[in-house]
Amino acid sequence: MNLIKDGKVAATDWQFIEEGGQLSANSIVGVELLLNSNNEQMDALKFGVLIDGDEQLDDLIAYLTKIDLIVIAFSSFADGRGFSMAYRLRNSFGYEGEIWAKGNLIADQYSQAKQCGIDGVVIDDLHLKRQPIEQWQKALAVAPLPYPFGNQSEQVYHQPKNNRFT
Amino acid sequence: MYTYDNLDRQLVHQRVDQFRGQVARRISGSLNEDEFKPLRLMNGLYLEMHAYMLRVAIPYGTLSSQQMHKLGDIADKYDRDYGHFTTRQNIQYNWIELEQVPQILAELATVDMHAIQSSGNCIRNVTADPYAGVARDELADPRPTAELIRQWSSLHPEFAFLPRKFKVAVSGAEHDRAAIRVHDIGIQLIQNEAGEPGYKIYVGGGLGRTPLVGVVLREFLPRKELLAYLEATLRVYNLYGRRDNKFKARIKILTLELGIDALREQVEAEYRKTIANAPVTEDRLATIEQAFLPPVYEKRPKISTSLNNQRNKDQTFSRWVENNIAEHKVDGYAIVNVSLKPIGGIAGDATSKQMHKLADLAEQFSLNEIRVTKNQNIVLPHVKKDDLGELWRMLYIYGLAEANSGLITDIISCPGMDYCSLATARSIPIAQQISKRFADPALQEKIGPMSVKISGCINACGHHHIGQIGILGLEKKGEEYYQIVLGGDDSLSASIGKITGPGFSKDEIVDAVERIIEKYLEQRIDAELFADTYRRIGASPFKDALYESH
Repeated sequence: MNLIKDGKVAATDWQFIEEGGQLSANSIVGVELLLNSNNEQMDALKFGVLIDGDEQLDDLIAYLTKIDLIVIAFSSFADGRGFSMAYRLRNSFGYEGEIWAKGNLIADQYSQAKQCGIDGVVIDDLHLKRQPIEQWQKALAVAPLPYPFGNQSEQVYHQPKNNRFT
Repeated sequence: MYTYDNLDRQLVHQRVDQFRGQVARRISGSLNEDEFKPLRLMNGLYLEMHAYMLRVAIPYGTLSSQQMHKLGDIADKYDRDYGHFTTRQNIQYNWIELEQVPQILAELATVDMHAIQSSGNCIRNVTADPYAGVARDELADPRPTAELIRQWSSLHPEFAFLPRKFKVAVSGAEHDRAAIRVHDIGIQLIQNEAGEPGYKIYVGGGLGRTPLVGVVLREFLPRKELLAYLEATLRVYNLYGRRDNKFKARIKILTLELGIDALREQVEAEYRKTIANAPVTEDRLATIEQAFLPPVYEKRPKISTSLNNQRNKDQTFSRWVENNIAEHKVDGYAIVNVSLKPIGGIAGDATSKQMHKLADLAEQFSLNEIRVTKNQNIVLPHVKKDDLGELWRMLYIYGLAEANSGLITDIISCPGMDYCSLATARSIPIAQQISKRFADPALQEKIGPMSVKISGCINACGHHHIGQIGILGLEKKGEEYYQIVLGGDDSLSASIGKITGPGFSKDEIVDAVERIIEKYLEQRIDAELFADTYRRIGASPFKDALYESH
């Protein structure tokens, strides 16, 4: 797994857990596994949840304060549902943990992802080879930002107020 | 007119640089074609049958003389000396080289223009009434609202990869000249009972394979809530619009499948949840409104004696005044419709020479302002009645004085199979033949207001569903044929036309249209409009005329 975060390929000890596994430290589990885990485990462990565009965020609401990382799986880079899911997590549900996008987003979407509250992007080796980290840095630097419409004039309107990672 | 500030300019220039880099990365292979496609589309660049096509946005159809000059320059320098004005108030260049696109975008940026979001699955160029700010029947000017939406929707990070394209239109007049009920979102400026300004919001209109008329999402939305409400609507669509089938991905299908009540419930719930973080409408709208204050008009008499004298002397001129001039809200001024539909010509096309001339004429006669209409024509919005004669003579010299505004030869046609890779049949030659058949000015005036709209495939870019006479070009076993739909209406009382029956060959279709017109002239009572005759007598007499003994 290659995690692009803060403009570089970041080291990570997070691990995706396949179906049938169990909640453990630094594991990223599916929604079903989460729902089958107990509160004590959740409280004791640092863990993440993988959610795709067909799944309902509502299932996660009760656990948001316990979840350290939410990975949104994009079925393709052109499936924009993940941007709205991230926005909702930040602004409707007040989620303060980390959010990643998985599914080979392209470097040109890095800025959009960050503006919606996504902290990191997970891509595979081939994709990173084709679009090396310099392209992600450059894409972020050259992407024009939208018009500010927030309460403060310089605030980008989708920059979540409560996102501790930005 | 709205003029760009530093922020607007910075954004457009950054976008040009960004696209330049994207083109280079496509050429180097860093971006594959699948990845590059949405990026180029979001900059208005299509790959068509013969070449790249570039669609340049003309927000709510408003242009300055300087901008029109630049459009003419681009046609001359980078295309085959002409451009094509579209039904969504854009301009398309049909013969563009990919490598030149960043340069064209850079040139457009020098006059505050761009191709941002003129295509792709994002919020498209916002359209509005071409008579905005000058129409007699206007309750409120739609341009500040349209400009507000342009700013809000430009580069919106959350809505750049929607299930499908998303089109918004705004109208502030009694008569809807922006076809708001066939848009994904249609916005009508209204007042509530207390006299407060706000909006009526329609959702789920659209043409294409499944033509539907928009339904009311919100009867009255206070002005200050507009962006928050649009954002909630777009978020619901982005999350729940279908992505499994691109032909069922527009918000009209979500509206149809969920039902308007369930959709409304979801939008309102989303709206309540996100209102605290929602974009703020008020201050920005107030600032924008300052840019659309009416120009300073001269005090002039309501009746122009010199105009009347000239009309008495010249029947051709008089006919043009009769058909192409609309009532201006200020006495002594006129709204001029410049037809881009010469008899036998190509609907919406203008040569670079014509564009430059229109720019000059706007400077001389129309306070530097030009509008582009959804009927693929041009409007000069502030012409003194006394100047109409001189203006007309200049238009005449440049082939721009066709006196057919709103008449049967003012045909809307998509580019069809002559240009478009989606088309199943040619549309332009059919439009040309119909135009020639009904060329006689007296006949056109006898028929009266009429809209013929032609699409070369079921995607309906020629809006055939909402033409009073709609024509759809299809293909069977290698032969083009044309279906007729009747009873369409693109006003606030919008309706989708119905297919009359079997289609006609390209050699039969013009005769078929003529038989419909003959039946209408035979059946109408006094000056009854075609739509009213059709509603009164139904489809049967027209079907008889089309299919019996033929």
